Amino acid sequence: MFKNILVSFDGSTYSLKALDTAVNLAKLTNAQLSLVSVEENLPRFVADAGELKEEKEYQNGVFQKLQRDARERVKSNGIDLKRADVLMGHVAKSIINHAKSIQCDLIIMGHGGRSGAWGNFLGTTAEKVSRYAHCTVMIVR
Amino acid sequence: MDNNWLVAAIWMVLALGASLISVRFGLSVALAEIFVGVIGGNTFGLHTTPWIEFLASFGAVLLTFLAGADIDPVSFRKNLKNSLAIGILSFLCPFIGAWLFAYFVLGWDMRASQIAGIALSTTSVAVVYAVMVETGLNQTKLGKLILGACFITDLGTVLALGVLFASVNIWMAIFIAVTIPVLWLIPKIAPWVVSHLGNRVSEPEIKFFLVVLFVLAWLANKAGSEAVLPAYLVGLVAAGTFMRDHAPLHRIRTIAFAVLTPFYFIKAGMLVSVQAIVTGFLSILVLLSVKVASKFIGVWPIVSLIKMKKKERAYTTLLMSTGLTFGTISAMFGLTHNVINQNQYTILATVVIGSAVVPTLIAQKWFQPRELLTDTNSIDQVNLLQPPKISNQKESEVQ
Repeated sequence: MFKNILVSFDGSTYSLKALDTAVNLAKLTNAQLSLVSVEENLPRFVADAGELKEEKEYQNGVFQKLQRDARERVKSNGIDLKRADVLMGHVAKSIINHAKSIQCDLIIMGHGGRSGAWGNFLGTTAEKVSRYAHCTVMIVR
Repeated sequence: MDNNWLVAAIWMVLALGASLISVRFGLSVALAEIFVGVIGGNTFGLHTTPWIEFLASFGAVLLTFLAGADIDPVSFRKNLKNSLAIGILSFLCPFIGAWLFAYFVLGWDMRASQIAGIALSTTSVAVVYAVMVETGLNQTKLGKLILGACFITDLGTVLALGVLFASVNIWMAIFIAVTIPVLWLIPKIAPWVVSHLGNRVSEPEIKFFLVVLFVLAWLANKAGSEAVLPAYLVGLVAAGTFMRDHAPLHRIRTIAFAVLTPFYFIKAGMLVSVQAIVTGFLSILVLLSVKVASKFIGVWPIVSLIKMKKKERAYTTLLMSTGLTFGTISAMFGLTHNVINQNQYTILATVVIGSAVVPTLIAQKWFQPRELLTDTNSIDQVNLLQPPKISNQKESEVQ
């Protein structure tokens, strides 16, 4: 069965559901569990390097807190995370590349999240990951 | 619409809208402000007042100060020779190339052509830095070399802007006579000011830098030069102080981005004529090509000499072709000093904005030297569970 599960986590309701599902599955299959979050909306084409640096510091803080909370949630279920990473860049691309680099065999992610209204037109992150990932992808509703 | 509070409210509504666009779409607030400025100027007849003009100029001064203060003196000294070579040629070739092209092909007069040369000679440190942070290239030797070269290029731009249009008079002598000792003294005085007077509610250390900037801006102004020249130089010599303590720079940036640079960038956008973009579209495309081509002519041979691989050469040259802040400042200088007209300003500003986007996208898409990174994917990784990996999150490279 699955040995190395990666959960995409952005703090949204769907990603919390994905995390809970991943925890249950990891218990059942005795798999290792990793977490990844992606900072997407960092400013591009900035006029001052500090604009990016300070925005990145802010987002790092937000995502680190989210991941600490997630870790506690996982721990309370008797599991410890193998790793937790915050990446920056295109969300789907980053998740797919990261999943490959840590050799995970299952990606679990929420159906919605932060794609918002644009997701209806451009496709959600979950759709993109399920289309291009090297491994099985579970989308949690 | 002559009530100052109403005017302020309208401009701040635009600035707020730009901030929201920036946050939602991951775009720099500068580009978003220029965008709302274009809409405001072309659709709603937005115009400036004397106090908005001053706030915008003050914003430009602080932006150039911040740009200078972003340099990492240690890395810069390490790569000085190569950075100097790349930076000087990266300034000179597009400066001469765009100047001659505007003069002989577009038929602009000599001074307007010089403004074209200056505006298109720039390289945006900030745009380059943002591109490299995404991949972690700012941590590599190549990244540090490119960033160092960007500062040299921008120094060339502000020197050209400050010298070419200055008047030779007694004020110029006074400006030089005051600026040189001030630049020599700041690295000695500023650390003491920051460490002994810093972190108080009354912000004496911020006021210290503002006094220096205002006095030098006044003298530059009297000498017929441009206030951004001393601001950039003061930023460069104060960078070492901010390496030790980021807090004052953070607070200056907060002041600038909250109440000053919105006026500058919205004004920069407001002065762009959409009609001139349409009628001058061909000139915009050609000038953008001239900028990138002349950067290639200047930078490519020198990066070949220092034995960069082909992909790295293309990447370096494309990043050196980017521009934004100094380019718009130069174009706006030309317009406000009646050296260029609004159509010429529109062409230059659009080319500058195009140069922030087009070379960046090409460099990222086709020329990113991934082999320089041991693990591209982990460069910006913040691993909470494996402490040693936290060191991958190095964000203070430029500072």
